[in-house]
Amino acid sequence: MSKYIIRRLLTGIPVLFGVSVLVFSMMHLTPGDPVTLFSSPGDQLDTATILYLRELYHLNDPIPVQYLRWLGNVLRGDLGRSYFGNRPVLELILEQLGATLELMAAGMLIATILGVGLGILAALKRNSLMDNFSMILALFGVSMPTFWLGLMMILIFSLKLGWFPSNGTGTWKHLVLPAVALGLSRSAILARLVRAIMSEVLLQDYIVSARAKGMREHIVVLRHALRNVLIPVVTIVGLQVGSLISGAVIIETVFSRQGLGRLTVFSVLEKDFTLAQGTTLFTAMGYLLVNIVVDVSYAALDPRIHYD
Amino acid sequence: MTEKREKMTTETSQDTLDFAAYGMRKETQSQTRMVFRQLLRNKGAIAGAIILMILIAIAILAPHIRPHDPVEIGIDRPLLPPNSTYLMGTDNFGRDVLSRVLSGTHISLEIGIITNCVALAFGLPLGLLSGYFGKKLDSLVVGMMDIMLAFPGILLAMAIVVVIGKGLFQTMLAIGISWVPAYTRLVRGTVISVKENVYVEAARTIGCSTSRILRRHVLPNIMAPLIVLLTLDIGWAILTGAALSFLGLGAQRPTPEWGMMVNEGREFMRIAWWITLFPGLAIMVTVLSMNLLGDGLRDALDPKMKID
Repeated sequence: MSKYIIRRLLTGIPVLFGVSVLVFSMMHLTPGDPVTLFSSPGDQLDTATILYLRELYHLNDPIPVQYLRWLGNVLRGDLGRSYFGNRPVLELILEQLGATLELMAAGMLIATILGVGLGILAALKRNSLMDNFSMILALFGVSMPTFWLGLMMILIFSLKLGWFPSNGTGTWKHLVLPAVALGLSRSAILARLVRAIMSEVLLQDYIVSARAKGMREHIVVLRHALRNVLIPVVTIVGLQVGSLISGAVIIETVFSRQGLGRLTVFSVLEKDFTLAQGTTLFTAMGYLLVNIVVDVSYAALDPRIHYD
Repeated sequence: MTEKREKMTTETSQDTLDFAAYGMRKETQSQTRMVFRQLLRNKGAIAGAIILMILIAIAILAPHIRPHDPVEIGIDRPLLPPNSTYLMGTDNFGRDVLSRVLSGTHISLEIGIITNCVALAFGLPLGLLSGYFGKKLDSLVVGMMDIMLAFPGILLAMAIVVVIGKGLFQTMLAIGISWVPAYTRLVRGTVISVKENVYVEAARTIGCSTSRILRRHVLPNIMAPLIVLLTLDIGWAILTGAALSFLGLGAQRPTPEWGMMVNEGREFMRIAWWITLFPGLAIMVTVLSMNLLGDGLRDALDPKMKID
């Protein structure tokens, strides 16, 4: 097991390297002189300033040298400075990270409870009213734009009913609507997949023999079926992290919440290149690590899986 | 003489294979009929196809059927609620929401189609070549795709927008590029299994060129999963395109793009909900139609992939 974990971590290194190359290349792929990327978009730079800045940022060095210097800084935790407020990018990212993780955790919890619950219920009562209802709901869920769902929730629960605040961060009340909006659309995908997995598990021999032994239905479902459904479900939930990150970017904008997603959108809209580069690199690395953890968790969860 | 005989033998073998291919085409025709028949039995798929046909008709006929000019500003009629003259009301600039929704249909369908064409243009050849040739080329392509997949969902598209700039066309290109890995992986996986078939081996033995094998024997056999992915992904592309426009990175004013229209209506939601509601509904209906049709196609073309 530990060998597998080490091997999986090692296979992540070339991908991390590739991600860093790609993020670094953003600077040289952007049309125009890279020096303009490190100044405010409105600034008019004369030739002398451009030459000075090129020297200051070592842009006259060969590209591989520039990359190694940039990578060295990244490894020391220096992602550069955002021109907005002239603050270190890493400091800005860490400041916003907590709010995003909170939103993602709450969203994932709602998605899992709803998605797994609806999926199992639908599989147990196949072709019933409940089954049709949950699958129609799931179909609408996957077709609905997250940002629009969030706005409709603001319209109904904030502006009309006044139950929850429409924007901001801080209390649990601020978290409810964004988390539900984020979780609902992800629960739709989960419900469809869980239904399919559960339906297959319910046809297995061990379920038939459990029923044949005269076990009560709830014991068959909870003790025999559910345990076997959990492993693929954990995998699917893990794979939903990417979708949750994308969702967080949108939901944070809809609800004007603090967070890494909103910071990323801000950096792109305001053309704060260093900040955009930093948030992209940070999120991609975080996502990669989550994927490795999900991979490793298979082995921990399922004793039938051996990684030799 | 011997050379001539060898040439004749090769030609005869190629003819035999072509005859076999003709037989396969005949079989494919009957398979197509079977798929079509199965599709006709799927109520959801029929509903999806009908809605899609209506949407295509609207996209084509919008300039003739829209009641007002979608970009004409009416300073005397801002924020009018739905009424007999303006069925979906007017926005803050006094523009007719219905005309804008109708005009936005072709933009959303274009986003869905063009992004998938971009993804297919890169993903299909990359997947075909890496799956067929394997070895170093395969490792290189898989490595590249792993790097791209390390960027969660919308983030890669946003990073590409940083490089190529904001705008509708740029958004399509960005989403298309960010979806290359999905197509590459699918095509590669299918090619790996298809290339082991006897008919591919036979074609190789009689000296068919690689391009001929790929075109005549491999490509037709990977079409089914590709069509399913394409149909389902058009819906996803429409959602992602709308999300990017909502964030301000896609279509720019005064283009009547649905995601941007939802964003424009945000600040007036308390007093003019209709500006946000109708474009969002339009997105949902369009994506729903693609999902219904995609699900139906998946069940008809590849029952193994059936979710429910």
